[in-house]
Amino acid sequence: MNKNIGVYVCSGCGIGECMDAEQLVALGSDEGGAAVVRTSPAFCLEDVQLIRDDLDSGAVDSAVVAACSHRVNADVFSFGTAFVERVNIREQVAWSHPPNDPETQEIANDYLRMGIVRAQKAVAPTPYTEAHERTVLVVGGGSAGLAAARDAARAGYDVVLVEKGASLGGYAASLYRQFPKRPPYRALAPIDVAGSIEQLQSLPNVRTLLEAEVVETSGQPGRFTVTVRRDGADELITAGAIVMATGWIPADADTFDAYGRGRYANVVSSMELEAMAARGSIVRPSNGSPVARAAVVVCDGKGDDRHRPYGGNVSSLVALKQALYIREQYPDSIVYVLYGDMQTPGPYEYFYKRVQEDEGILFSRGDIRSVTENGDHDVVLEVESTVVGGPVRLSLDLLVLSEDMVPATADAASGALSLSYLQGKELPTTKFGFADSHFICFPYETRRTGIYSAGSVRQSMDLAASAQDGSAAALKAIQCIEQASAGAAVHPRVGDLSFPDVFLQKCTSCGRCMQECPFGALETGEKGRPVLDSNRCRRCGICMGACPVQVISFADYSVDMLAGMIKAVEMPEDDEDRPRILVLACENDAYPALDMAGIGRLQYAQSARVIPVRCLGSVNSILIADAVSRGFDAVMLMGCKAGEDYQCHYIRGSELLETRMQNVKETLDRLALESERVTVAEVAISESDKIPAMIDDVVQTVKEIGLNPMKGF
Amino acid sequence: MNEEIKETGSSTHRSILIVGGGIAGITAAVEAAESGYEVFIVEKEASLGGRVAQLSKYFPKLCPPYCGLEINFQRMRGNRRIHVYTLAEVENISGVPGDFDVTIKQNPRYVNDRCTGCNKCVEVCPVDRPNTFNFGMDTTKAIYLSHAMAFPRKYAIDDSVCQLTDCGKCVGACPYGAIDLSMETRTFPLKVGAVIMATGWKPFDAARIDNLGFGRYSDVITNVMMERLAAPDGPTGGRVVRMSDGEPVNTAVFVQCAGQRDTNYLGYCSGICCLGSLKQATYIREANENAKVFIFYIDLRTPGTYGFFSKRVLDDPNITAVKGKVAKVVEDPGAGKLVVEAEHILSAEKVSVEADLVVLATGMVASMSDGRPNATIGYDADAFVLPDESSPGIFPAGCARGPVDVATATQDATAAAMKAMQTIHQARG
Amino acid sequence: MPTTLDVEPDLGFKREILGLGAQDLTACYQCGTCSTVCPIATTENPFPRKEMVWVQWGLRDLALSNSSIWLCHQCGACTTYCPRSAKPADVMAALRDFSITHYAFPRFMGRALNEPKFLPLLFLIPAVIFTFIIGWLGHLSALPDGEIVYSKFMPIVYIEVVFIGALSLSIIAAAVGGVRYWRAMNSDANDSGRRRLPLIPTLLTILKHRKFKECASEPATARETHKEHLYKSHLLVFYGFLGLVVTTTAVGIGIYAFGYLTPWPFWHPIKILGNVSGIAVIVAVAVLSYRRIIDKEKAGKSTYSDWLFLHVLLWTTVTGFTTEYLRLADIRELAYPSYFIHLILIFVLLVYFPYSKLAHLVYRTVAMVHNARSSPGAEAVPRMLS
Repeated sequence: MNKNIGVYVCSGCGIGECMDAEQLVALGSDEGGAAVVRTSPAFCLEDVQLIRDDLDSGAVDSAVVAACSHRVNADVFSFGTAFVERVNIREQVAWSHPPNDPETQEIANDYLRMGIVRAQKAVAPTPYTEAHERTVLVVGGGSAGLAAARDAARAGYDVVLVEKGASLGGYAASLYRQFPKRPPYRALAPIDVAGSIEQLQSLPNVRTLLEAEVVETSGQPGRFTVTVRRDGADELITAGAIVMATGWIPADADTFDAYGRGRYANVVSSMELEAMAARGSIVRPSNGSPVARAAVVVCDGKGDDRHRPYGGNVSSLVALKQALYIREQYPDSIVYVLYGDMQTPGPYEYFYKRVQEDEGILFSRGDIRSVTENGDHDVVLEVESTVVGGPVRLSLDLLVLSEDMVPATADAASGALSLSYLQGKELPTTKFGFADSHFICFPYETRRTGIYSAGSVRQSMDLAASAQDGSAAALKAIQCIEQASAGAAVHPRVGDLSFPDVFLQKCTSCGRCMQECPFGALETGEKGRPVLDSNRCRRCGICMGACPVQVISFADYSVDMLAGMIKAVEMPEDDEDRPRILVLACENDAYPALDMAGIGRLQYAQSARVIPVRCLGSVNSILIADAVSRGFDAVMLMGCKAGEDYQCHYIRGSELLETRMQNVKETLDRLALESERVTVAEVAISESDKIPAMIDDVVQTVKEIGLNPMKGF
Repeated sequence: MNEEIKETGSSTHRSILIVGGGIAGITAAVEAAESGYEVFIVEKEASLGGRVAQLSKYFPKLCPPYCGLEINFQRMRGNRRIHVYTLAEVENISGVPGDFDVTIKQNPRYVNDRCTGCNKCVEVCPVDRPNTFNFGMDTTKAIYLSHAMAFPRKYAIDDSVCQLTDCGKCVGACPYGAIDLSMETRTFPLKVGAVIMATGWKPFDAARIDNLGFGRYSDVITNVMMERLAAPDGPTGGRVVRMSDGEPVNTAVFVQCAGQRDTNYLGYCSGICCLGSLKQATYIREANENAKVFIFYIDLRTPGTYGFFSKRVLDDPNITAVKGKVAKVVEDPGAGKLVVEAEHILSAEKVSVEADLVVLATGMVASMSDGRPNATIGYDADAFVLPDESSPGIFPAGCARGPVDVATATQDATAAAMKAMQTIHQARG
Repeated sequence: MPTTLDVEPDLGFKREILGLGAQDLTACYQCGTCSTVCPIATTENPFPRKEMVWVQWGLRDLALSNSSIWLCHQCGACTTYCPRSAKPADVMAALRDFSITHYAFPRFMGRALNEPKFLPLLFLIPAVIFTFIIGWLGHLSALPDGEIVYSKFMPIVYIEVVFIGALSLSIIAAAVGGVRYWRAMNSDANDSGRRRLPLIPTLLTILKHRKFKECASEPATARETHKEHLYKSHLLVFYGFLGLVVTTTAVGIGIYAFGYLTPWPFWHPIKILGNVSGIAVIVAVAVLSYRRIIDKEKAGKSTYSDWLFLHVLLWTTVTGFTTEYLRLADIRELAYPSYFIHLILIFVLLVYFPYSKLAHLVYRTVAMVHNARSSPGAEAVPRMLS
């Protein structure tokens, strides 16, 4: 298909002073066969009208704008559905290479060639839309779930709330009091669970299902099908998006075995104390007698690594609250509060200070050395590294240990959605089993699009934070419903209407795309071939990178297109001073970093040719093989950090690349080429200052091992 | 994204005013806009990003804030429901939930939308100004771009130093007619259905603490300055060195609670500074493989699941955390070192460290401690916005509500956006 | 490995300390700012951080058996810098108050000086004694005739008998208190054999007011504290008091060794010394009182025993002067009663000294000697971490 392409070369912002814009224009019309070519001293100002006119008149259907990076003026160079390709000759050519140099001109020429190829091959995507459901399903009726259901309903969406217990309220309903949540942060406050439930039940668009369990979840955003079992009967519920607020469960009791839990009668958990306090009868469990000496231990200090790698603000605050419970019942008692570090962030510091005012509550940091019991069932606690000046021994009527909050997802029976996804029933989790994927910048996003986690299943947190979390996750659910209804992607390629298309006739049913998709968007269909649930897709292209027979492509992003762009680069023959290095740069971080190098006017080797990719995971290894057979002397894969602290926006992209590199090395071996020619460079968005050296290193490597012998074949 | 004023006529408005364009404001804007609502961001600086743009890295992943900002900016670029006013402040908010009348005051940028970001103006500008973005550790010209990631990427003129029409060199240098030195402050109305206060925080003035040496010794810096020092686009290009002589830092001391948890200054805990110092300890170690770092603390606060981060940092044998608050920093003029003193609480002895660099972990002060808009908004005693019925239809997000980390701020902002959306939906009936 | 302490909190003790003006101590979160800004706390015995937690936990024995409570010279830097407004200086003062009662011999005397209800009794005792003497001499019905000579009213020998007798008992009592404190401190520390008691250096330190001076000259803590005036005020009151003691002793020696009978002429050096010292005491006490009232924040809380002592000292000196000037003015009807009151006040000031604030003469000296002995050469230089 031949398109009518318009080539628009801007000479502003120093471009014209650096290169010959006329040469680019000529290249566009001669080599590129453009229907229209124009130049302007600033296309982003009045002259943008020229482009618009060409498109409106039908003279051109796709515009190639050779000017600044696509990261600026996106709104200026946006013309409805017309395809616009931005060729970055400002930041990445004029601002980062010496002016009026044939090699610099050559970079611009190559970029324009690539842009024209891309414009030729790309098709404006047609969104895949289907009848969609706007109901929000909330799983879990605790603080987070109640807030999510309430807020989604009040924002005008139908809600189905599924709770496995006989009543709503969750953990909050079992609490005696809560620590203060508002100024002056002094008095313990009652918890109005009934009020929250009543508020929810007054909303006409909320349907509550109690003693109900999700036994199966299938489908995708806009049309999830959820099987809910109640009284032995199954009901199918259709939902647009799901908020998972299944909360937390206590850790196995043996987690605190060393602290005597389960062994000594007078060692209780904070949950058990909560129940005693609610009954108004805090006593020695061994004989029901009053408590004169008690200790509340916050088991989350630095010394507690063996139990749990994380603690939380919750356990310290709970300890403070429970010390007050005991003191309230026994005004003559002594309650020790022992902790690693008192975690009362923000205004909770005022609450800590308030509890300190109670003369019967004694505080110290400390590491628990031993917990034993004497003949009278007194608990004997030995604590070291205290502030008192050495180890101490405390004889107690009651020892209270913090309950350890484990996300409900840790127990498959307790709160799972039973996903009928090829990749498994479980919701993928981050460190420590929490259902989340981008917990700093983009919370609530799980790796199952359309399913948003909230409350203690996402992070250990208190009631107020859980309610807050529920509200926020409800927004994400609503947003997902709205985007899905338009066939558009959610975070991070918000609004992208393209989706992967599989040319099934050539598919070998290897299943790699289904396994590697970080979001489980592909399910197994007929003959083991992939079927896409398009609204699950985040458009990263990892499937495209995975496919060994290259049958997966997007309307505006494909292996063929990238191969064409690689091919478009003019390859100098046997000129040692003019090696060519292909840089496949992740559009999220590496490409902006290259832009930023330009903004900082940092200069780097003129041999680099940069092609932005959606994610390094979308790079099919055949492209690398292609590049080296085309004569590129080296290939750099520039992308985000992999590993535990991954910065990949698609979670696994950078990590998958590593396994793909194995393939690449084999290909290079087969071609009898040095494996050093292909390198992976981790570059953070802020590391533009390191880019020149990174590229120079590759140039140096090429110098050492020589030009690609495949050149010219 | 769109910088025009949207005329809205009806009495209820499917639009949200977001006061503040930091991480909380940006997040609230993007989340609400992508859910179908119109949003107006009012930012008092020349570009968005707020305090996070000044950070070198985030804990616990030690990743650059620009990464998340870039995605958010990318989302904003493609969204016509988001309107941004920079160099602007909210003067007045009146009305009821669903129908607020807002007055915005926008200060002159002196650079119009024709700016292409080419930098020609900077090349001719004769006036230097202290670079506030880098806490005055270097300078920019009077016409400047806040930083490399500045969004919108338009230059601005600091009229407190620029001679405006008396000079006008930049006007001649700009090929695009983007500089307009006659620009004046303008005030305009806006109708919105709900308001999100994402006004954020400012660093505590460490000079108020007389015994910690800030302002007296140039090698005593604050944690926010440390971020700029470590940032690749900071005043030293990311080299972590002593401010006095540019020498490497062999021993650094972090002083926790420099003002926080202190009834003389800030009664509350700032919540993030312990994690911040743990993070910054890695900056020091990265810059000098032999460097030693001491973190003096009262309680090492790593709330939530951050405990693993402190463990990971403290596994480095060269990073030591000492329980005890630094109460004295003096200079040993002979050695050119700073002597830091504290009580080592667990061994009950006085200890000292000879340091090249002392970093005061100062806290967050609510931006609303001054310059509040005229509106029905409830504040607590520390000038944080109360998230309750004292501010009907107005919701705080992020550090406007309390001192929180970035992760909490984004959560908070999302929740605030939800509250704003349902306020509007309820008002529309 | 330090031995494990069996904790048995004494909340009664905690409450008593709280009641002695230290109620803010609960806010202490053990940061150690106080010990760090303390100009005289040493590396190995930093205070008052640990004293704070000992009181919080009701660990009475630990709190009372440390030299630190008496090493503290109450400059108030800790209170000024305390981030929690827990007022460590008040806690140290309260502990000192408490320790005077605690170590007092006999113990009820400690209570008598610290509880207002016993105040009349304290004055009644000397009043009865002196009234009895005066009555015995017949001066109750008629004052001595002629030129006012106080020895006519109350012969020196009677005074000597009363004061030497009572003071001897007081000194013994003070010694017992001091020894009790010394022993308590030893039970806590690892006392390694016999070492010489560094009495002379300690005495020099006291005479030079070196600790007060250190308190006042700490460079890093620039914030204004109570310490600025304390060095000067205490120096003044100390030498004023010493001057009065010297005067009295010299008068005694004059009378008995040289038969140089009172009243001595105004120009006499000893007389001048007495008058100057008296003025010094009055000025110092006035400053100290004024600061306590006007500058509560920095000076710390003032307890009953603080005010009792200041008042007794002030009025003793004032009545000394009124006695002197009424004699010169030749107003018999006022001069003799003035002398009578003066004597009662002197009695209260001196005889009760082991139980009043003046007991610091003993306890602080004991603490300083003990500290100098257990850690000779210990400077305020912190251990260097590297």
